[in-house]
Order: sequence, then structure tokens, then C-alpha cells
Amino acid sequence: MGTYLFLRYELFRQQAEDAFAPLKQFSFMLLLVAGHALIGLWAPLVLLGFQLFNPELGTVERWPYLQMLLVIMFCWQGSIAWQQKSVAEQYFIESLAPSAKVAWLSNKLMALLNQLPFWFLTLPVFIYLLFSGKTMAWLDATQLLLVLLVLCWSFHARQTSWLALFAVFMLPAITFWSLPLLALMLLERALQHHLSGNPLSAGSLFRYWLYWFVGQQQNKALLLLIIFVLALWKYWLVQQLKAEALLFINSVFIWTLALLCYAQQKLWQQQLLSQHYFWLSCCTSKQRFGLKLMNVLPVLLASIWALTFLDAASAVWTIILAVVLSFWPKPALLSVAVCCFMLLLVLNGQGLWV
Amino acid sequence: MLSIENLTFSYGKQQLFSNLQLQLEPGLHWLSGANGSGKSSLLRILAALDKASQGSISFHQHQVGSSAYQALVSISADAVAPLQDNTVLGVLQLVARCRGTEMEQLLLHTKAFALEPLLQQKVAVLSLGQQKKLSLTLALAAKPQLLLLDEPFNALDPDALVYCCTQLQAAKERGALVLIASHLSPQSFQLELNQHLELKAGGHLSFSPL
Repeated sequence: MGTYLFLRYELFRQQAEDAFAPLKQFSFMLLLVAGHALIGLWAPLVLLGFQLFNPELGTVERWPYLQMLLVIMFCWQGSIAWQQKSVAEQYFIESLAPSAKVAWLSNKLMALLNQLPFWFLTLPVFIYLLFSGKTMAWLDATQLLLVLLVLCWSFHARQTSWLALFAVFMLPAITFWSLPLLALMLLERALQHHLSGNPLSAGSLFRYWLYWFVGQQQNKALLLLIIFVLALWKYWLVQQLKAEALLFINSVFIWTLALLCYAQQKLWQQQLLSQHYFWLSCCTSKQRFGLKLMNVLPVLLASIWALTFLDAASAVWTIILAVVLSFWPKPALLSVAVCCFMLLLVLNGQGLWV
Repeated sequence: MLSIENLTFSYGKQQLFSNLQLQLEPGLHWLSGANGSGKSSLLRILAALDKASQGSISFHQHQVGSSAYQALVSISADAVAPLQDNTVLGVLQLVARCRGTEMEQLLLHTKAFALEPLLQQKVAVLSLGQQKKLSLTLALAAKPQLLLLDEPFNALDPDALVYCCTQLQAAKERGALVLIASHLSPQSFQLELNQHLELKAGGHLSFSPL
């Protein structure tokens, strides 16, 4: 049993390393700038943490921050689902287990390991709610714990992405906020059970793409991340921040959006590549071109968002970055994105160093 | 003896077996059936990779899924794929560690299946036949008492086919129970079969003449 559990841990570590393998191809300069962007992303998160524990805010006032935190964690879960192995490989791993119980136990342990950051960040919120002494805080804490338990033990990571979308942005801050969330979780589970064994047929290229997009957990996670960044952006607008801070968040938003488009495009390319001969055999060259053009969809969405919520110059840069990253197949071209990013800083960033 | 009693299993609304009964003595058993009749699912259930909704399975008095049962069973199936992002050697070492299989045994079969030059290759780049050979190597080397093979002859070259049949015959002589699920005719292979079972839609089993 010990050997098997150790093996599962090793496989987990290997997967985590593989997930970051593409980063090794990036240039040093890119890493530096990406690091800068990452710090930019963390800054609002740190502030978010401060707000969460801000004693001057009431429980209800703190809900938006808690909701944002939950979204980040859901995204993390989505990204973990990203790394999961195929069913056949999972069967192989389980076939090596000394007994069915050990296989079950190790699966649960791995799920828990995957969710450690989730617990790490959410448990303090839970404890705070419990000991804050605020009216009804114990109810919030109980609900939070209930949802966490259901998510972590009864549901796979893949169920959470869509739920988070509803839970965090669609539901109002009501007293029994966990009830609609739990209902949604059950509904999704029931729907999945209903759909199992009933494959959806792709009647058109767009439907094929749509099924692929919805079926891939990472896509849902990416979409969620885009929405999260958008929500964060809207929040910062309300806060009437200084121009420098706005620029900083602006840059982070552009970067995140562009990288997400890039990641989505890579996934779609991989999908097409794995079925290259299939598409050659049953599609005309026009249709295959159409399939490739489906890449533009997230870019279009990004553009609409950018034009709606960002200033004109930032929106144009966002669109340029997203288009370039979506169409260019080689990661090396990310350097172009780096240049665009730096140009953006130079053009608009006087406030940062004056 | 392998004993299956009242086995019921379904995928969503599609029921594959209902109250399936089967008793098998050690020897070579051929399980045929049309595509989708449930051959592969039955093997996965016997390997404790899928769980039946009802019924019981035991082998030599050990219940399916128990550590005593799992120590006796090995499976080779397309749906049980060795880790694609590992090297062939890495997968062999993995199995040697987890199943307690001797590395010499694994390398012996690797050599016989002409996989030796591919030890440092990633599993993902192997051809269909080479992946099948690797899967058979992992199952055969453990010298299990219950050997479950799903379409073991698909994509094998003639030399590998002969070697595979020899090994299955050797397993029978060792006293193992070998269950081969295949849509092919058993007459095409040099095997001294004990039984030929046919699985039909709905999980009905019948015995065909050898």
C-alpha cells in the first residue's frame, strides 16, 4: 500500500511539472515580464485578502470579496482537472493498486492534495467568519463549510467551474446563499448522469466546436478566469483608484486575456492535430479552414469585452495581442506580445515612474 | 475457480448484464461476442476497475477488489493504457515496483516482443501493435492466476502472435485461468481451449462448441 501511495504521489508531481513544461521554452526576458505581470495579478489579490479581513466592513459588505476568492479557487480546481489523465490511463493506474480500497483511498487522497490550496485559502475565511462575532456569521461559516465539503468530497473538479460562475456572479448576497448553489450542483450532476451514454452528435462545425469547448474542463476554467478578471476590473473601477493603479490592472487584464486566448488556441490546435487524418478524410479544405477559424471566437469575445470596459488604446492593444497569440502557432512569438506589453507601458505608463 | 453470481451492470440507462451467472475452472477460456455486447466491461469488472451494481465475484474464495484477489489478477486491454507520457522502461519499472513483478521477467517478454530497442521511447510514440505488446508484457510477466485479455491478438505481427499463444498455453499449464475476450474466431489460433463462451446482448451467455 505504501509503495502504491508513493507512486501516486510521484505521478501527481510529474503531472504538475509537465503542466509547467511549456514555460521552459520561454526566453528569460519573457519570464521577467511574465513575472512582472504575475506580481500585478497578485497585487489586487492581496488587497482582496485585506478587504476580506477588514474589521471595518460588515459581513454582507465582505461577500463580494469572498465570492471573488471562491472564483479563484474554482479556477484552480479547473486547472487541476486540466491535468487529469485519460480514463484508460486512470484505469491502468488503478489496476496497479494492491486492492480496490487502496485505489479508492489514493484517488481521494490525490483529490485532497489537488485541493490543498483551495482549503488553505478558504479555511481562514471560514475561521474568521466563525469567530468574528458578527450577527449571522456562524450561518455563513456553516454554509461555506457545507459547500466546501460537498465540492471536495462528493463532486469532481469538473462540476465546479460552471457552478462558480452562477454562484459568484449571478446569485445575490442572500442569507441562504448556499441553497441555490447546492441545487445547481445537484442539477448538473443529474444532467451529467442523464447525458452519460447518450453522446451528442455534432451536426455542424460550430456545434462540434461548441461541444468540444464545453466538454473541455480547461476551457470552462479559462472562461471563468476571463470573467473573474473582468469582475475584478469592474470592482476596481468602482473604487475610484489612482490612474497608476488603473493602468497596472489594465495591463494585467490585457495580459491575462491574451494568454488565455493563447492557451485556448493551443488546446484547440492540439485537438485538430490529434484528429488530423480524420479531418482530412471527411472535411473539405474549406471546412477545415472553418474549424481553424473557430479560434477567433474567444478573441471576438475578448474584443467585445475590451471595447466595452477598457479605454480605446488598451482595447486596441488587447485585440492585437489576442489576435497575434491566437493565430501564431509558436510559443516563441510570445516575445512579440512582450514587446507589445512593454510598448503599452511606455505609452501609457508615465504615471508609474513620474 | 472463478465464480460470478447475479452480476448486474449498466452504463446510464443501457443495461449490459442482468443477473449474469458464470463458473469457470482454470484453463483457457474464449469469450466472443458482437461489438458492444459487454466483453470489455466484463473484464474490467473482473479486474475490479469497474464496479457492478449488483452481484458478487470471487476467485479462489477471494472477493473481487480484496488485496488477495488483486494479487492474483492481471489485465491487458486497450481501455487500460500504460501511461502515455512515460518511457517504456519507466512503465516496466512502475509495474515491477507496484506488482512485485521481477524486472528480469518483464525484460524477457520485452525482448521476445522485440520491444527492447524502444525502452527509452515514450509510450505515446509507440505504434498500435507495440502498445499492445507492451500491455501484454505487463500482464504476462506477473504470472497471474487470473489473466484477463481483451482482444490480445489485434495488431500483433506474426512472430508476436506465435509468442503470445505460447505464453497463454504456458499459463494454462501453470494452472492459471485465462479469459480471452475477442471477436475473432478461436480456430484461427494455436490454442488448446477449454471453453468457448458467447456473450449476447443483454448479458446472456451461451457455450459454443470448440
